[in-house]
Amino acid sequence: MILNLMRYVAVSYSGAGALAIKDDVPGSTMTTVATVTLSNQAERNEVRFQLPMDARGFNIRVRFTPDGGSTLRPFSCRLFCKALGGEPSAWRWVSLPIPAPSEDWQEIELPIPPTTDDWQEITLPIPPTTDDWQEITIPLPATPEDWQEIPIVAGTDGKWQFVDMPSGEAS
Amino acid sequence: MGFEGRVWELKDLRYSTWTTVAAGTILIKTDLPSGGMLTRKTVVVATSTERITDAIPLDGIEAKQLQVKFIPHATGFMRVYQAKVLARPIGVFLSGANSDYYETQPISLGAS
Repeated sequence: MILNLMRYVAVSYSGAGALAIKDDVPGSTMTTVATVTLSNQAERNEVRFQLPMDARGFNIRVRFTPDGGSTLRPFSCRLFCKALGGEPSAWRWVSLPIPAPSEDWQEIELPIPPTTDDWQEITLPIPPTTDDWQEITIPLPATPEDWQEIPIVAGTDGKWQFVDMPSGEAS
Repeated sequence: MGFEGRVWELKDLRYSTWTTVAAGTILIKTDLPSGGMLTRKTVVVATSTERITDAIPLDGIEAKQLQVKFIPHATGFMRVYQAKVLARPIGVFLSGANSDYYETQPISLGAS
C-alpha cells in the first residue's frame, strides 16, 4: 500500500461532461476529492487540470460522465503524482487504464451478394421438337357408298333439261 | 449491420457500381447520435459507361449500427458489385442521453 499525492490530471477527450476523481484518504472509503468540468471539444484534445492539495490516496478511481444530451469520448487520462512514505518517488505521470481507441482503420465488407466473373449456361424454355412422325387425319368429306336415284322429268321434247343433282353428302 | 455494441468511427465508403440511364443515390444510415436509424449522408452516384470503383468520405460518422442503401433512379439501373466501409472502434463512448458513465476500478498508483 503506497500513498500517492496527486497534483494534476490530464485528460484527452472529445465531447462534453465531467470527470470525478475519488481517493480513499482520509478514512478508507472512496470519496470524490475533485470534479472537473470537461467543456465541449469537437476534436480530441488533452486538457490539464490542477487538483486540490489534499488529493492523495492509496487507491484512486476516476469516473467520466457525459453532460445530458451530449456525448463524451475519453481517450486517455493521466495523473501527475508522487509516492509518499517509505518509498518516496519523484513527481511522475501515471496513465490510467482507459480503453484506448484503435488508431488503425479496419475494412468492413458490406454483405452484398457477389457478382461472378464466370458465364453460366442457362437453357431457355423452348418446347422440344420431336424426331418422330405423327399421323394426322385430313378432314375430307366422306364419299357415300350408296347409289341415289335421280328422277327423270317426263315430257321431254328433244331439248336438254337441267336437273338438280343431290349434294352427294351421306344422309 | 451491427458492431456488437461498440461504437465505431467511420472513415469512408468504398463501392463498385455501374449506373446507367440516370444517376442513383446511396444513403448511409446510422443509429448515432440520436439512437434512431437516420440518414447521416446522401451521395449521388453519376451514370457511367462501365463498372467504376469510388470512395466517399464519411467525415467521422459514428455508429453502433450501420445501414447502407443503394437506390437507382426511378428510370435508371444500378448494379452494385461490392461495398466496404473503413472504420475503427472508439475505446469509450458515453452518451448523456442514455445516462452512460465510465468508472475505473480502484487503482494503486504505485511508487514508480
